[in-house]
Amino acid sequence: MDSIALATLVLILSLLVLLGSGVWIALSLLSAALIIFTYFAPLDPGSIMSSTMWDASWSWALTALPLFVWMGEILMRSGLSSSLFRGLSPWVAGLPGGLMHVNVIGCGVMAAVSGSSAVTCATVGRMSIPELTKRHYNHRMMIGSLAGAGTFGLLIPPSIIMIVYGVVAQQSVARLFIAGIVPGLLLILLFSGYIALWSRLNPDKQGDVPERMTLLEKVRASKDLLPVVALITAIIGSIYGGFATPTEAASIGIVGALLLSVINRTLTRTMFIESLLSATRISCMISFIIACAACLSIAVGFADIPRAAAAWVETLNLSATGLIVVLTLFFLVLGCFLEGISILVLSSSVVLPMIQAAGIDPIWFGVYAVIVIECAQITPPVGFNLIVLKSMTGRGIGEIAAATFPFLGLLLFAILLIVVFPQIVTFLPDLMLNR
Amino acid sequence: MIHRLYNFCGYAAAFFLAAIAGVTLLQIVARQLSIAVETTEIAGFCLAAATFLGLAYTFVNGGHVRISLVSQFLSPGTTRLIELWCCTIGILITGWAAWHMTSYTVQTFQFGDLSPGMVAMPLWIPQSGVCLGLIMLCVAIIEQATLVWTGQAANYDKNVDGTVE
Repeated sequence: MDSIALATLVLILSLLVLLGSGVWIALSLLSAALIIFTYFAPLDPGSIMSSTMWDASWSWALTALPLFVWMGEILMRSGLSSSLFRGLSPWVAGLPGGLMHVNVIGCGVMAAVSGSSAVTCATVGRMSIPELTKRHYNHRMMIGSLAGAGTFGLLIPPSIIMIVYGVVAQQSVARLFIAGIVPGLLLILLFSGYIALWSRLNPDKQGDVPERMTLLEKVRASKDLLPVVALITAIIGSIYGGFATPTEAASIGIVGALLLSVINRTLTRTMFIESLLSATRISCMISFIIACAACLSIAVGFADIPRAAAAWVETLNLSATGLIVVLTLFFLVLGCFLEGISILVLSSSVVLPMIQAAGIDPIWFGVYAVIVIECAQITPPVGFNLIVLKSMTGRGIGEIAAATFPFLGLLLFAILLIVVFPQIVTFLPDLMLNR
Repeated sequence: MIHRLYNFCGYAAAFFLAAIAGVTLLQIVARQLSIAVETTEIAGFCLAAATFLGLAYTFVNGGHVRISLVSQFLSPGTTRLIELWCCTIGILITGWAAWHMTSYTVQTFQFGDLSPGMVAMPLWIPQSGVCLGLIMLCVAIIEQATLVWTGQAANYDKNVDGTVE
């Protein structure tokens, strides 16, 4: 057995043992890096890994991450859930499926101001679960659509995971954000379409018929949504227009989120500190994983595994589509046990050279990877949206996962669509570039 | 007692997180007034400080993710052994990282390395924050390991947020 194959074997085994026995993910990556470095690289690991960790911890692109996390934490506490529900429900009440669409569209709106799927899911669910239950909506469908639509938080910009991908794959975060818009809208359409179809097929499982409102009343009810719409326009518009980098857009977004909570009279000293501390914990966890993953990347690189992996893919003579099918299966299996960011940073050092070797557009691959990771958020036993909904509804993970299953199918269908029609992803960012 | 130290570092980390937004806003405002203020580098240093100073605080609040599948199916005794194994690995690797990061920082100090941007700050200043954070994380894991050893519940077992990622 040659040394590269042996190194790969050691890498897989040590990660399996460390991660499987419950060692913290960041520390598992760092330990695996040390093992690989010590046995398969001709250099002293101490100074190289220190300088790698330092370089990875202060990159400019990454500074957008804690800011978007904080913004989401502020908005989650800002009373936005009730204005979303009040503002959206009159418009969707007449559609087949009724207020169930608030879950999907509400998550879409929330996703456009927050970068995380758990925050999106929790913010929308806080209001829509009690309201829909009160109106006798089908419980299964309600939970499923909420868990599924919560994952939009990853795809619709701003998105934490796209910042992570941009940093590890050295792609423009702004272009990734813009590339997520059309697939995000497509998913909203697919989810809402499915809900409408389902409620046509199951007329006996409808919720209460809401009272009709006049147009004027509808407009009046949705005026609470204006600040959110302004915030979305400011963030996405400034990035798309090239006025602001993602970090600058996030800083402005924080000011906007604080203003919004002043309007909603929810800004207190406690709320401010809680949101900041919570953002500190979450972004500390993510950035530390990234710093440790950078060490693993460099160790794996010294062991020559990425080049061997890329060469191996070339010898397989797999088409780009074939590679995507294999990777999708691989990510889905990983997604059952790991959360999204870990999947991405763990696999990037080996998978990205393969992607390049196969000639796949890295921006397209970023969006594809985010949708696959959306699936991971709702696959048992470890799916963060399932865990969020478990704590909000008190139901079992298995039941929630079963309710979410059709939406998992829709996500996979969306992957199929962007494989067949890659323009769905590349159209907007190309337009932005050629302007 | 020692938890106040973690909390203090956590508040410091939170301060640096807010500072990223602060300095970035400063840069936006200055640009409107056509004053050249370059804060991208400072923002990066604040990020490093926020990440590493927050490590121990995040750790004891259960913020660092891990796969906790195995322990669900095992007896409390075996679970305790596995927890001790995890802590041992954690202590060894963070101790190793803290040691090498510190000697790296000492080197930076001796060579007098400056940051590449307009600020030209000596790099050992932000790097000491990274060292301190790693040392604190190592201390925190040791402290939590003693809890597990004596059969008490570890603080890191419970995630205060519930909405990680």
